[in-house]
Amino acid sequence: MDQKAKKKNEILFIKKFKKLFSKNKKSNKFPLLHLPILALQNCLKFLDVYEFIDFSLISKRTKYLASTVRRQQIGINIQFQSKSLIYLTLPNYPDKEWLINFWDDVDKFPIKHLRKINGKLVLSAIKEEAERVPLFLRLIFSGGNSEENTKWMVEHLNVVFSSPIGSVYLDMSVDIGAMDWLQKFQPSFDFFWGVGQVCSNSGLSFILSNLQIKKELRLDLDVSDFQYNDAINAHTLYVKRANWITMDAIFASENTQIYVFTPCFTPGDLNKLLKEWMGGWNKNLEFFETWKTVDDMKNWRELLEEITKGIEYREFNSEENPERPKTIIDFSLISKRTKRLASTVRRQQIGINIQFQSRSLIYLTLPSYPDKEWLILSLDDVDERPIKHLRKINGKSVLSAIEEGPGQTLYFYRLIFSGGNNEENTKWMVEHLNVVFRSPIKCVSLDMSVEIGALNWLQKFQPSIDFFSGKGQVRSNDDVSFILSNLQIKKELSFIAKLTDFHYNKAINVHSLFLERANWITMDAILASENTQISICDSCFTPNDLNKFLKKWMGGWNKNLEYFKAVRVVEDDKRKTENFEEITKDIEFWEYNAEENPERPKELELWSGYVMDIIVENNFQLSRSDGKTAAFRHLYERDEDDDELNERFEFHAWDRTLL
Amino acid sequence: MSVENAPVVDVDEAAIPVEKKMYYRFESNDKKEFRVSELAIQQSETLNRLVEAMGYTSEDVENKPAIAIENIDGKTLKLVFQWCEHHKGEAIPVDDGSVPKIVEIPEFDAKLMDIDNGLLFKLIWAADYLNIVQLLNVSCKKVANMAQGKTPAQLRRVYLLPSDEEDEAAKRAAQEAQDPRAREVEEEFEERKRQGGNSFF
Repeated sequence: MDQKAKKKNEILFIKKFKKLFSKNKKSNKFPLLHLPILALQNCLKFLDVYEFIDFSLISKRTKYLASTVRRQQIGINIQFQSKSLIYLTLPNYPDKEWLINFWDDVDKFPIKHLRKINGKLVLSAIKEEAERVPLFLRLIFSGGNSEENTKWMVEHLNVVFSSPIGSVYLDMSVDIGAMDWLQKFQPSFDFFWGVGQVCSNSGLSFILSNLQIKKELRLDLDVSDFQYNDAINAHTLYVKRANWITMDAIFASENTQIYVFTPCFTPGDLNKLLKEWMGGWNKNLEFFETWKTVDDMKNWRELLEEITKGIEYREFNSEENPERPKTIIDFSLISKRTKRLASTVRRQQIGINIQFQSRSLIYLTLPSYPDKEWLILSLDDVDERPIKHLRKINGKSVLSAIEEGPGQTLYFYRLIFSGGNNEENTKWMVEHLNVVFRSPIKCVSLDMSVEIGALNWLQKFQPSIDFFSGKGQVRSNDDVSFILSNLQIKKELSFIAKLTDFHYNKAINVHSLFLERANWITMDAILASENTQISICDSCFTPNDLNKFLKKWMGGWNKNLEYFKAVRVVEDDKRKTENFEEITKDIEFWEYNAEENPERPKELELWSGYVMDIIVENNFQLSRSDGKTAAFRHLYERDEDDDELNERFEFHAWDRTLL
Repeated sequence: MSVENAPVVDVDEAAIPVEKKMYYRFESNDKKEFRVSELAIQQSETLNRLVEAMGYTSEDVENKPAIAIENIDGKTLKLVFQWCEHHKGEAIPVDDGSVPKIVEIPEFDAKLMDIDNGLLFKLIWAADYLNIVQLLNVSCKKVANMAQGKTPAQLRRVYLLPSDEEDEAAKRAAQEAQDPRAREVEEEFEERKRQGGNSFF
């Protein structure tokens, strides 16, 4: 464009600008694209993720402008499954994830808008799932070809965020046509997770041969009639059900960490692996682990001999090998300096969980290893362990050992310390771990029948925790009062404790309140609180209490409430009708019709991870003016375990205007 | 209007110090004059470099003509210098690269920017031109806040964002303005294509 035309355009803009702002001084319009480029980019830097994506989707020009914004790379992660999704992670917002879903039921959302993707205007909605950690923010697009839309959107995000794909999760049981696209678009990325029944062995071969996974390749696949002999080069190779991987594939690769769970590797294979390593194979290798189930340990010495046949080795002595990297906990226990150094390592927060009981223990969970847990406990028989070492805790050197193995649900590692004051050592270790891992206590479970001096410590050290569970015969009602009054439990309080001569009337504010043998909690306490999920078994709530509950809810109380259950032991069901009438006295309600309530959730996810199906039979419905509606049911049922007759009242509330 | 007759706009009476400090004189493109403290000027990288390069003494400041800022009008410049005086001595923020950016708009700035969008546009333009980092931040944040809770269609309306079709039309119009014959040729070419002609020539 020559200077004359440029000048003409400028004059046109000034005329338009004057017209726009002279008509209405408080115009809500702003000519963003006419700002100087640096100012425009600065404005875009303040948009949140979905506002930024919306801006980039408007036109080719806005897409280009969005792509010029200088920013840290974000994580673009894809899950190819029956309904594919994308999730974005930002380095400076570790507690949030931005999801992009392609669902069929967007029209159910109360607030929805048209957005243009892949050349078409489609219905979409934004939903925030604030109760989840990390916080989930979802941008949901309606229907269409989920895989095609995912690919299109990834290409768009790749340009506007100037960021590559970080990780790919693939359900191998679904069509994996996307792999061709991935190979062409970006064949090299950091993480790849494959799961499920492999519907095409050639598809698996294609992935292993054509994609370059830089950091971690994690596979848990159901494969048959397939063997892989070629190199699988990734920094970390983690393969469950790895019977299809041959030793040749391992030798052809140069992995740094290898975890292969397979029954196929023989002691002879492992002997070969040791010999190859001795002969100079794979200078990158730091760690190799293979694992298979055996019938018994009778022949372990013969197995060890076969594995080490022709290899010169001797028993490991840690004192002769001070340079060998130890676990982060061992490293942090050496000195104040190593503790400080360990605490400077940047890492995701871990879960520090404590069980205060006759033998207290700590268990740690790591977000990146959901199938493992690390236990720290004290036992008296450490000296019987074949390999044991001195470790310094709480100012003293004590005998200790490390064990590992498959637990009931998780694979465990166990650091066992010998004797000492168990409770004091637990508290000391928790304080140490809190500093080293820069992570708070997440969960405390307490046996109420033992001395619980630790509660005072907990109140001072960290009074606010996510999960608390108490069980066992309560030694003192004061202990319960102390817990309820002095600890702030944020997510879930569960209590299985029968108390005599004790009633609690004050608020217990926690997201989920699960009480059993709970004859001590009054309706006043429930009505003073703002819980989201409440389950009270063995309650003392009378029909009149439940009537008070319904009236208070109808009056607008507790907009958070999703679920309330009260179960009371009764002698017989003679008063069933009268009790129902008393519960519903002066309440406007009607018989529940599922077809009239399509937005009612079908299930309820509890904090403990359990998903409960909502029963809709024999429900009655009531509504209040703020858009909340609820269904309740009242029934008598016999407990299969103790044959007691229970009067059960269940109440489920949802928002008519929101999913 | 001559410089001698230009109105002198005191940005902040209370800000005039008792001790002897240098106050520079600036003039907007509509001949409004401003006296701005040396410390306040440091908020603007452009002006700070300019006055350093000029090397004025106190006498020069009084005797020489006010420094002309030809691209900015008096109304906008008044806001700019009010902001600079209020925030004088504050550290210039360094962008740590994190996006979305987090910047709080202080109460003073919010009141200062309680203006129509036309003046806000000029203020951002001036902050960019004078390289006043934090003023640019807060004013851009105010613009970004306009996107909050908006649907894509509303976003288009608020920010006056043309669609691809509108951009194409504007481009064609600009080309036409540049060379009307070129448009005619293009139309003729399109028409021949529609009629099935293989060659234009």
